[in-house]
Amino acid sequence: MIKKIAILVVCVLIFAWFVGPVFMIVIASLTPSTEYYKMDQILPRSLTLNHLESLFVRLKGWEATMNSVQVALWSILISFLIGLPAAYVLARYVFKGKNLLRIIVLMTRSFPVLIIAVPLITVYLRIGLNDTILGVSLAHTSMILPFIVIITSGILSGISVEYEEAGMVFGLSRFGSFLRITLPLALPGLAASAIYAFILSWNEVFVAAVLTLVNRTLPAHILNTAMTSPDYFKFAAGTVMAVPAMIFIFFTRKYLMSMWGISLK
Amino acid sequence: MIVLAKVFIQAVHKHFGTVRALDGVDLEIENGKFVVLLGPSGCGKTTLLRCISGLEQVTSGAIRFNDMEVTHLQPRNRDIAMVFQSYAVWPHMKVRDNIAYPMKIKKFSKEEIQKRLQETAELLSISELLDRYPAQLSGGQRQRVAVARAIVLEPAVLLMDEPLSNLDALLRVTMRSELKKLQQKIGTTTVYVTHDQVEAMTMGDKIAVMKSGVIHQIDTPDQIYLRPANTFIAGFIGSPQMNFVDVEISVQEGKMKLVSKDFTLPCPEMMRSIVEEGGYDRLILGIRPENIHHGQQESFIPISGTIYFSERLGAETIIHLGFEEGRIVIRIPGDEILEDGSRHTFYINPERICLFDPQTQKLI
Repeated sequence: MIKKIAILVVCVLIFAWFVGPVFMIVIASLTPSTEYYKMDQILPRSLTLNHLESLFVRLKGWEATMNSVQVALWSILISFLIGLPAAYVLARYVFKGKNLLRIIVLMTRSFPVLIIAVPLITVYLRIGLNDTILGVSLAHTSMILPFIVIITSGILSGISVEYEEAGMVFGLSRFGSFLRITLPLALPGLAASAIYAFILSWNEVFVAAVLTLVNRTLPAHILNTAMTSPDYFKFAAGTVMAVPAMIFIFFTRKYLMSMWGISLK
Repeated sequence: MIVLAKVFIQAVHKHFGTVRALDGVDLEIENGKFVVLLGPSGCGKTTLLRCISGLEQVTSGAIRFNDMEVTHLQPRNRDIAMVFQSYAVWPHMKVRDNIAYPMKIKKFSKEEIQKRLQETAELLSISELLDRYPAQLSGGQRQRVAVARAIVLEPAVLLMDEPLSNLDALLRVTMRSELKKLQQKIGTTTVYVTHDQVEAMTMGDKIAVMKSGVIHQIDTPDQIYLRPANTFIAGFIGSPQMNFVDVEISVQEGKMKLVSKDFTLPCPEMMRSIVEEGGYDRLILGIRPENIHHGQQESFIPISGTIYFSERLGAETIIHLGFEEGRIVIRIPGDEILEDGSRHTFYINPERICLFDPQTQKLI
């Protein structure tokens, strides 16, 4: 009995620890400016969408959001285009230096992507990629690619090569077999890694801030605008950043969990 | 139309780095025959099958189907079909789509696909399973789907890689005869890989026994059983294993005798000339447990020893007969109760004695 209460208390505490700040942020973002600084109330009497509206419309938050989406999608596309073939090779073939290759790929994740931001912007300025969606996508790709290669090679290894061989015996080329048999089987795992890659790109602030001026992604944009604004704008910005990602993860949690080997009913 | 293919495998070598998986293989398979590649793990039988299929490229040598040179062709261009050990039935497609897929890829008409699908499904008794997914099938059912998928295109050569090894023992016995009957009915040239000698003996028109990347003997099951080419094959086929006894040749009073450390047997007449011509002084004598009998018959050679142990299996009895130093195994039908330690005489059928050269291990 005591044990059950103790577990319950721990759960409530953990819940409060995680949800509390989120709750605060969302409420604060909806608090009218007149009520925000009042000392004698904790919760606002009325809620307003003014701040969110300002952020999105007057301060061009909506464009920034669209930029973020585009950057994320391009990053995923380029990462998969480069990463999937590499993953296939790692999964299917045995060759000299295979382990070395794997380690090198992993090692590129060992430094924060920020340190390439300044060298990258100087190169971009020279070739005209500065302040472009593609420019930021390429930088994000360098961050996401190792992850994609390692995870998808694991997924492809899990698909028996005999399915592909059967495809090859019954009329497909090796590539055709990969496309029409392996890929459909790998899709849930690939979808999950794409989702995670999306979130990695979505949340990335500093490189995006360095590489762009006008066409900012949402986090970079918020750095510009909300950080020099009153508190409730900051909270509105926080809401705008956090809530979509949370909703996204909530609806796709089954796929993400399966990627890490846990199955949810 | 079934195009029956004669398969020619000529001087095929396959190296994986320094490992010689196939070290010079020559094999000819007649139209419509069921040939079994038999051997222990690592002998190269699966590698040979994969070379025939095109999933592996040979290092040197040639493979032909009739007049067509297929050595460097992709698997899909070889007019073959394969049943994999794990069946490799595509899990994301229903059974009907699995069987229809090879036809779909080759762009058969809808009517033709339907017709062949129905016929093949009936042939393999899986008509009720057509709308299920592979995950909903038992192992045996999945295996039938794999076989159905393989025969639906009426390939020139059908390849099977140990298709029965993942089935339970009872099902294996049933499927053995079913597969053989199926092949007899559709008549496709078939190459079948197994390590199970019972499967090989019961199913093959011819057996190619392999070891260490080389074929040691290609013959009918009967011949392999009666006249094994060397001690490896003799010991590999037949259960319990053939008895091997080292003997010395001695000639006394014009009679040739085979002398082992435990007993002496007269050399069978028919063998004498071969032994003399070869000038052997030592040999390995091989005799199968089932060729040593309890009852005396005219030409049979008596041998006496002490019962070391008997295994009563109901339908037959396995007797371990001991001597001063060694033991031999005898297999007699029926349930015989013989006491451990008692002396008994058994009778060897001389026509079934195999003599092997101790240096080459080959049958003389």
